Formats: sequence, structure tokens, C-alpha cells
Amino acid sequence: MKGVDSFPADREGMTHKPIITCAGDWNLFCTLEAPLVAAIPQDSCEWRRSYGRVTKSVYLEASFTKYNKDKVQSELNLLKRPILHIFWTDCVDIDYYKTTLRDEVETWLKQMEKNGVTDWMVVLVETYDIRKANKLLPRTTVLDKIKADFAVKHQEDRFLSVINPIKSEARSADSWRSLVAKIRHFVLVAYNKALIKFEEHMREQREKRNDPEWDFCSYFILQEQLAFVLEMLGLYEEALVQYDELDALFSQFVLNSNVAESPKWLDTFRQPITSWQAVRLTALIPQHLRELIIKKKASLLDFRSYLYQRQSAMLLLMYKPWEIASRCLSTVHNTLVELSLLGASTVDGAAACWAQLACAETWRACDRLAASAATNPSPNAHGNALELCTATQAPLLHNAKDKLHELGKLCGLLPGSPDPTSEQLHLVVMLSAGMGDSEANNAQPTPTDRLKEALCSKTSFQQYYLELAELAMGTYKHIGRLRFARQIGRDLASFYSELGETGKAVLFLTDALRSYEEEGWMDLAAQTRLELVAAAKKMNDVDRYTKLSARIASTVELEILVRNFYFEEMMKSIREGLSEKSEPVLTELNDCFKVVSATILPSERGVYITDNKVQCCLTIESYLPKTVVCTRAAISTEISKQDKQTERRTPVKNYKTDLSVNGSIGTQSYSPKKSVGDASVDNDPSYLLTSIRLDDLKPKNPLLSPLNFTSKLHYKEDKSLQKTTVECQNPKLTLKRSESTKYRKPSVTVRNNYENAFSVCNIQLTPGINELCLEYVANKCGTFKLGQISLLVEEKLEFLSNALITTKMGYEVVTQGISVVLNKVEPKKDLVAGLEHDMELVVTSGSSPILEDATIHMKTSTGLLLRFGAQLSPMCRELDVAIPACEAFVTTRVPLRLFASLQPRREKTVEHTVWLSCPWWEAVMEVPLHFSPPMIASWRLLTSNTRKFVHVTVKSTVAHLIQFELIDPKLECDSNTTLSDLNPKDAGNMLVASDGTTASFMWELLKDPLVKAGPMKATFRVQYRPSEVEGSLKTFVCPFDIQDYTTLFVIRTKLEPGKGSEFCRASQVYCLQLTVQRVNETEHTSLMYEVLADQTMWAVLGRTAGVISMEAASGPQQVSLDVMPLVAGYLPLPTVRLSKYIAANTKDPKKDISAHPRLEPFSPGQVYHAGKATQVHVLPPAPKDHDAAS
Amino acid sequence: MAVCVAVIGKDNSPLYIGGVGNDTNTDNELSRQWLVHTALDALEERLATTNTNTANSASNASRTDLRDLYLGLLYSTDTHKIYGYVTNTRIKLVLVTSSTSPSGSNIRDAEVRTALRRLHALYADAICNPFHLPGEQITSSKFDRQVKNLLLNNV
Repeated sequence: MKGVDSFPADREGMTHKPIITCAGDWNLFCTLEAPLVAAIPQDSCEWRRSYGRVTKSVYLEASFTKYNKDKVQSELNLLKRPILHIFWTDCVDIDYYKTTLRDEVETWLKQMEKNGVTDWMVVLVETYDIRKANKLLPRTTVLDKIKADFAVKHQEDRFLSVINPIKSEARSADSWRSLVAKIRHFVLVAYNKALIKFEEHMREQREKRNDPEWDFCSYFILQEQLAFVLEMLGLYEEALVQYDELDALFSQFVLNSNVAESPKWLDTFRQPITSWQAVRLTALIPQHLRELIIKKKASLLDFRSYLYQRQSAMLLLMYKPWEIASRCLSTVHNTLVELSLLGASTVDGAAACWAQLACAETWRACDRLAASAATNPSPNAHGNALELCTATQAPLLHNAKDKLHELGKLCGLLPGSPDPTSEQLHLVVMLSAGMGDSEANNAQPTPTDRLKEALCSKTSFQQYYLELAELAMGTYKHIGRLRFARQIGRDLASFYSELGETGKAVLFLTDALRSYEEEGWMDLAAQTRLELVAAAKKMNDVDRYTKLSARIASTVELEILVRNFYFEEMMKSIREGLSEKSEPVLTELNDCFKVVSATILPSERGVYITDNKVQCCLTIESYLPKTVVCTRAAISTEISKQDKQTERRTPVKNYKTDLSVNGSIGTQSYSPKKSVGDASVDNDPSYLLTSIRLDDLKPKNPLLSPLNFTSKLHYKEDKSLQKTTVECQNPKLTLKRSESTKYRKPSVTVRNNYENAFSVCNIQLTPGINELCLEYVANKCGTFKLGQISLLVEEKLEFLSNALITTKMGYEVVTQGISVVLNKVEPKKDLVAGLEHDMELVVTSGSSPILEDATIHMKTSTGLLLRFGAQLSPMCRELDVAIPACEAFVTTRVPLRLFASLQPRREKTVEHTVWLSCPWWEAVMEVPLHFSPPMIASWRLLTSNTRKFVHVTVKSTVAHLIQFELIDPKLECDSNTTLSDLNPKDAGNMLVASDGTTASFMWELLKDPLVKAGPMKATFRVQYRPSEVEGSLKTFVCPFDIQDYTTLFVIRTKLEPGKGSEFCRASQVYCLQLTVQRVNETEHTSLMYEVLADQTMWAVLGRTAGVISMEAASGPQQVSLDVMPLVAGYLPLPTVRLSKYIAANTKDPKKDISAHPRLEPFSPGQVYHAGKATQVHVLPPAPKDHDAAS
Repeated sequence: MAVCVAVIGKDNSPLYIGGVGNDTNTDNELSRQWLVHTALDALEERLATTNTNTANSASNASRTDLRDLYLGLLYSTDTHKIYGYVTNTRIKLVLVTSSTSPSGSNIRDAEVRTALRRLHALYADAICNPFHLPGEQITSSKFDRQVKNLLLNNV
């Protein structure tokens, strides 16, 4: 228990302990040592340090040795030097003290003083004595004596008495505890002092580092002591700092040696390297390496191994295995650089060996630690140690794998390489020897074993390599470092490819390629493609090889020579490899070409019609380095909406032509497809585009939209300016997270159906922009969308692109049916009944030709006649029109003449219908025709007393200008009435025209007055012909009825001027004489008269109406009324209305329901008002003065 | 001496990769691209942990460091060291030094930091060009010249 070396190694870390010497009663101490050693580490002690360093709580251990006054250690040796000296005694007898002990203590203290030691203690071990304790005032004890003799100021606490715990355990606890605490305290105080002194010394040494005589190894051992002490005190972090400082110092020296003069000591590390043993990650100090350093015989690898192991040890003690892993790589990298800088000679591959072992060993250690930390988590261990370890292990494995590969290359173990030469075999032996022996007691093979084994044979090498690679890749994937994983994948791919397992290689490469393309790393993608194409060649996969060659030839990132080479390879492979294949190889169009734009050319007719060409212009940019022949370029079409009719030759059913012959709008403009087209544009949500530039489809870059910035002034309450801000109004627009458009794996290209497709054959595709014009003869109606684009290159390689599918590009195909139209030749003129008109039947064959001779059967309504216009055949009501066979869009016109007979009716228009039955339509087409009569006659009956006259007026209502000559007008009456023609005989023919010219005729009815006149029918007849056309005369007939035309009463009115005056004067009352005389037989005897005077002119005084009775025998009835003219001038006499008065008939309610009398008017010809237009001259009223005077 | 710098966009696609060195053949340029590409993994990892840290302990004193756009050494290989820097708009700047060349092995962290800050400034200048579309590759020859200069001056 006394020495460092004897300390069991399983107490990890603590290889050194503070040394405490014991003087005085050694035997006494021996009884106390065991409890003391056990007690010291039980509790922590606060370590206050100078220079403001952080106060730490420290657990101490101690080892005790017997004090030897001859063995004095230099105070610069921190480890071997005792840190505290204790003098033990159990003397209770003052006399004994005075005689012997006092001298002993004095000598001891003198020696202390001589060596400059101030860290000592004197401990008096007492046995508990109950008697003594009971004494009120204890006598002076030995301790008091010692204190009195030796203590100087501030040293009293270094003298201590303790009750022997061995003899009386129960009583001793307090004193014992304070002893242990004191020991701890003084040890730390001592260390504080020692370390300050030591650090000063160390600094001095370091300052001398540029001296030629300075030696790094010595300094290393010196500073390491500090690290040891700190480790001993449990301050692993600070211990690590010491090692890190040494590490940095060394690195700096090596780096500087490259540019400046190298110090002499560095030559030590230039010595040839013979050993590259694996580092061992334990807390133990690798003594053999340390010895080498002390002896200045350590090689660079030895030194680095030692330093790394010590650093790892510290980290292990700090429970930070992940830190070890992350340091491992930088250590390995640094070491390799230093190795090359220093140029230490060694076997090829030694460094790689060392690095591989270091990585593998570190990985193994971390793995083990992390696993144990995960299974039994210690309070100190980091919670996610396992995770942290995994994250750092992946690069380790990666590096181990790389180094192994390097070794494999050196030793000729890679697959595909020839068998190792004897030199390579020798190298394997050398390397294995340098690795040394691994620990024998391991159940599992150590990394050293594995490496040795791997170097022995190709198969074991391959196994180890693949194991490491797969593990590394898996770990990378686990921690989310996919790019690293893919890089390993590429390494694996080349390894597998060498192994001959190209299939596996392709998997890795495809995976990598996809990720590079996804992120836009074009150069990397191109490189991977080159590797893939090599793999395809090896696998003899002609399809893939051709496709990849095409792709590589189109890669602009690559050099033109490479591209040209692969272009030729592609052509060669098409010619040789694919020639026997029947189907072309499908590939992605966007790899080698770019669809720039597509335009469907508008058709000449405005719409696309069946059996006609639809053309589509496609602009394609070719990335291939040379011109290729495109055997067939095509764009497939898809039906997006099909019209109801599927048969293309069936025209529209139930197709009703609205042939308004009156309308001046040309009926030719009628087109069924136009209406369809218009409707679809407006209503159809799937509105079709006809032209597109694919670049325009890309979403707009939100960064290019302007931001609305406004400046604002903010005021405080007191109106002073608080702040000025510039504010963005629409930050969301710009800051909006753009949806990450993840790269979509190009789906396996499926070839569309190209039965209905635009196509063009045998064109040259030159590098750069190409314009293709593709054609398609539409054979079906409906709406079509453009689908896939296909470019068949050299007959065997087909490029497909779905770029257009989402664009809604399309066209609509319609069928134009045969149109049959009945037209007026002169469309501006109305149809006039009673005249012959030139018409034509227009048959337009639509989009499809009329194949055979067809006959259209025409049938007219009653009164409408027709005939062919050319020959003078008789008119008839049915006609067969032969239509000759003709091409599409040819119009056949058949001239016809049409005559509507004039009916003796007085309607404004005459309606007729023509029915057309055509062979291609099931239904009969109905054409309504509107005719106007040429003229209209109207008549009036005029009366003069009892004479009657008939006045006939003829006018024309035809809309367009037309003139008729009227010849031989006649009026015929039935019964016994005779007519006297009053028309002038020599006036020639009358003219009637539609511009308003009318013709009037007059006849007098000569009636026998004795005969009671009944109703009479009269007919007006006149011959007419259009004035400008010589032709046969036609007769216009207008019948009419005349009723109640006999005059029954004659009314006369007379105004008598006052007596003695010739004239009437206004405002004077006169007498109006009213005479009613009956002139004919009538049953109406009771009459009512009403005087209707204009109230502005006449004032009627008294009754204005009255009932008179006209009995058969009586003469004329007379009525007088007083009237007064109101104004002067020629005033018309008040008119008189005579009505039938039917008195109230109360006796016979059946006959007359009304109980009141009522009036019935006479027909216009029955009452003749003789004085109707008579006027009376009224003078202004006489002046009043004159009246008064006279 | 830095051998390569790269400007990588938000979507991890390269906006600019420029390298100098005695080795001008494509092979080495390609190998640098692999380095830069894999550095993205480490860079994203760093960003992710930074983000979670900020979310967890905003009060932490070391959080002030987060303002620093410089991410330090991302990873190293036998021959190269790769440093990272990320702008506030997640544009990643990567600098590769060669540890085999005397000047590259001796480079200090502070120098790298300064170099990357200058690169950031150059990048900001380059995209201030109104004719530059954000997100497009940087093709400015001036920028290229300045970056090459930066790489060489950084010895």
C-alpha cells in the first residue's frame, strides 16, 4: 500500500497519489494508516487557489511513507515528492516529552525548515480517559507543551490531538473527523504552493524553447507532471488542457520546421519508424511509450500514440467518449501531415496502417463505452452518449475504410488487381510485424487482428473492407449524413464493379446520381453518369449504354471531346446493338432536348375540320453535339371531350336551318361550328391553349416581385419625433416559404398511343434550336389535347417527353355538314305575292364531299308554285332537284322561280312554307317564306243628302320600291243597285307605288229610293302590272260589304241674328234653330239630340239635349236653343248629334234588361247633317259706352 | 492557402465554385466539388443543432456566439480542411484549405473567418447587381476575379 506501482490497476486513473511522510511513532501510525487511507477520499474538500482560479471541490487520496531524512526530493518533482509531513506521537507523559520527545520533534522540525518545507503537522494521539474528561480544569497537556515550544504565529492549527479510534471508537468520531479534514486541507494548501512554484518553473522552461539546447521531450515530461497532479486531484479537464498545450506546441514546432530552421531535438522524431502499434484506449499510462519519450527514442508515431492515449484517458475519465472519436480524426490527419513534413522514413503503408488501427480502435472503444453507458447509465454519463458517439463514429469508420483501401492497393489486394507480387507479400509481412502483438486475453479479435487477417488474403480483405464500408454507410445514413453515405456508395460501386458485381454498383451509382441531379450538382452528376456508362458497358446492357451515351453527349458541363466520343458511341450502339431489336429504346426527352415552344397553327377556315390538316409547330433545342436524323417526330393526342356524334360522315341531326328569307343578313354566314366554338371558349373551363412557351410555365420568382416599402414617422405624445421607420407592406409575399419542389423521380416513361398523332418524318435535328412542323389529318370530331412528344432518332432510340401534357394545349375538330339554303337572288327585295320571283337553292357540301348524285325533293304549301328558273316549264307544287356529286366545300346553285298566288284577302303578309327533303337527312327541312301583297285597297262611303258615293284608295305596302300600273278599275255590286262610274275616262293608267303614291277611284251608288236598301256586297277589281317590267296583267281583287247606307234623317241648324242687325255679336244671346227631317222609312222614331258646342266659342243656355219623337206622318221637328257666341270671328255652328233613344222598358223585362233609357248611335250614312261645315260671322261685342249713349 | 471556395444556395445547389491552385486539371476540380458537396452534410448538421439549441436555451450565454455566421471547421480529410459559413438567408459559403501545402496547414481559424467574411461581402456585392436573378448561378467575371484574388491573398 505504500508505493504507486503496487496500487491495483483497476482503480482507474489514479496511478499517482499525494505522498505523505510520517515521522515519530511509526508503530502508532501503522495502526492508524488503514482507517486514515480509507477516510480521506470519503469526502470532498474545497480547494481554494491563488491567482483567482476557480475554486474546485476535490476528492483526495493519499499514500503514506515513512519519513526519511536523507531522501530529499527536489521540489520540482511533483510526483515523487512528499507533499505533507506528519509527526505522530501518543505521548501523554509530560516528563517523557521533556526528556526525549521534545528533542525528536525539534530535530524533525529543523530538518523541515532546512528543506524549506512548511507543510507539516504534529498529531498527538490520545487515549480517551474518562477521568481526565471529568476534570474541570485539565492540566497542561503534552500538546499544549508542544504548541508552546514550537508554534509560531498562524501555525497553531498544525498541532492536533486526536482520540485514538482504535481504542475507543465511540468517543473519537469528532476528533478523527477534524484530523481527516485537516489533512485534506493541508494537502491542498501544500499543493497550491507547490503548483505555483512548479508552474513558474515550467513557464521558464517553455520560454527557453527557442534555445538550441532546449529539448521537447524533457519539457514534455516536465509539463506532464502537472497533468498527472491535476489528474490525481480529479481535475481531468485541466489535465487535458496540459496535454492539449503540449500537443499544440509540438504541432507548431513541426509546422514551423517546414518554413524555418528546424530545432535539433526534432531530429528525434525523424528517425525511421519501425513500430505502428494500435493505440489502446485505457486510462492506464502506456509506460513503454513514456519510457521511449524519456529516453528520447520515441518515433513520431510513438509520441503521437502516447499523447492521443493520454488525451483519451482524460476524456474517458470525463465520460466523453464521443470527444475521443472526434479528436481521433484530427489527430490522425495531423499526424499524417507531420509525418510527411518531417519526412521520417518508414515502410510504405505504415502510416495508413497506424491510422487505420487508430480509427478502428477508437471506434471499437467508443462503441463499447457508449453501449455500456446506454445500458447502465451512470450519473455522470451524458444522457445521449450513444447518439453522440454514433455521430462521431461514422467518420471514423469512413477513414478506417479509406485507409484499408489504401493498404489494399499497396498490397495488391483489391479486386481486379493481379496476384500480389513478392514485394507486396514482403510488405504485408513488414506491416504485420510493425503492428506488434495484440492483447492476448481478448475473446473478440482486436482491430489489429482484423487488419492482419485482412492483409493476408484477398477474400478476407474484401470481407473486412465491405464490412467497414457498409457499417460506415449505415451509420452515416442513421445520423442523416446522406451525402457522405452516397460518397461511400460510390466507393463501394467502384469496388463492386471491380469485383464484377456491376449490378450492385449500378444501384449505388443511380442512387447517387439522383441526389446530385436533385440538388443541381451538374458536374458531379455528369461524373457519376460517366461511371454508370462504364458499368453499363461492362454489363453489356445495350439499352442503358445507348441512353446514357446520349445523355452524356448532351451534357454541356463535359468537354466536347468526351461528348463527341459518346455521341459516336451512341450512334455505333444504335447501329450495332439495337439493330436487331424490333422496338425502339425509350428514354427521357429532356435529357438531350428541350422543348422550347409549341404552337398549333390556326386553320384557314378558323376552325379545324375533319379530314383536314392540323399543323403544330414545335421548337426544340438539341443538346447533342452533332446533327442527328430524327426518323419520326410525333406528338400524341388525347381526346379530352368528344362530340356526341361519332360517325364522321353523319351530319348534325335535327338540324333546323333558320332560313329567314326576309332577313337581309346573308344566310351563307350560317355555320354550325362557329356557334359551338364560341360557346366553348366562353364556358368551357378546359379552355385550350394553342401556343405555349414552356419557359413561361415556370412559376414566377417571388424575389423578383417588387416590395412595397413606405417610410413612416412616429411621433411621441408631445409631438416630437420618436422614430422614423421604413416598413414593408407585403413581407409575407417575399418571405413566404416556397414549397420545396422535391425532385421527382422520373417515372418510367410509358409510351402513349401514337395512332392519332401529329407527325413529321425524316428531319435533321441540328445542335441548338430546331423548328419542326408536324401535321395531322383530323378524322374525328371533338376536343383534343396534345400529349406526349416523341422523337425517334435513328430509328431505334425514342425520346419521350410529357412536357406538354399539363399545358392544356389542344384544338377542336368539327365536322361541317352539308348545308342546303333556299335563297333569294335579290336578297334586298321582299317577296311579293302575285309576282314571280327568282330564287336559288344553294347546296354546300361541308367538310366531306357529296359522293353520289343526290336529289332534293321540294314541296310547297298551297298557293305557292315553283319551277326551274332556266327552262320554261309549268309551275307546280313539287319539284325534284338533282344535285351532282362534288368535292368538299363546293357550292351548287340551282336557280328556281317561285310564285305565290294572290288571295283576295286583306292581310299584311302571306305565309308560305317550302319543305325540303334531302337524302342525307332523315328529317324534312322546313323553310318558312313570308310574302307581302303587292297593294292594299281601302274604301269609304260618302253621303250628300240622300246621294251615296263609294271612294276606293289603292296603296302599296311593299318595303322596297315597286311601281304598279293600274288598268281598268271596276266596282261591282250585287242586287239591284247600279253604279255610276265617276272616274275620268281619258286619264290613262293610274300608278301606285310603294313610296306612298296612291290611286283613288270614285263611284256613285244609284239606288232606287223606293226600295228598302239591305246590306250590299261590292267588289273592287283592277288590272295591274309592275310598271318597269312588260308582262301579263294580273288582277287585284278587293271585296267589301256596305251596310246601313240609306240616309234617314237630315239635320239643319240655323242661327238667327238679332232683330235689325245683320251680324251677330259676341256676348249676345241668339236663337239656334234646329230642324230634324225624316227622309226615309225607319222604325226609329224616338230620337235624342245633343248640341255639342265648343265651350271656348259657344255658351249654350238652357238644355243642350232633348228627346224628340218623329212620328211617321209628322213633318220636320224644330227645336230652338239660346246660344251665345263667346268670341268674335267666323265660328262654326255647334254640331248636333242624333242618336236612337230607347226608352226604359219596364213592362217587358225579357226584351230589355236595362231599366234605364239608353242611346244607340246611327251608322255614319244614316244621318246627314246639312249645316255641318257652316260658319257664322260674329262681330266683337258692341262697346258699352256706345250702348249707354244710344 | 485556400484552394477552393463555393457559394451554395438555399436549396443546396451550387451557385458558384471557384478554385485556384497549381492543379488546374478537371480531376482536381471535381474532387474539390465532392469535398464541398459532402461538406453540406456537416453544415446542415451544424445548422440543425444550432437551431435546436437556440430553441432550448435562449438564455445561455454562449448564445451570443450564434450571431456569428462562421461555423468553423466542418470536417477534414487527410489532405483538406473544410470550413463553413452561412448567411442569414441560408446561403452557404464553404472554404477548402489544403493541409498538405505549407501555407494551408498553418492557417489560423481567424484567418479563415476573415476570408469567409470577405467572401460574404463579395457575394453581397455580386447579387446587388440588378441584372442578377436571385437563385441563379453567379457568372460575374468580376466576382470570379475577386474570389480568386481572395484565395491567393489569403496566404
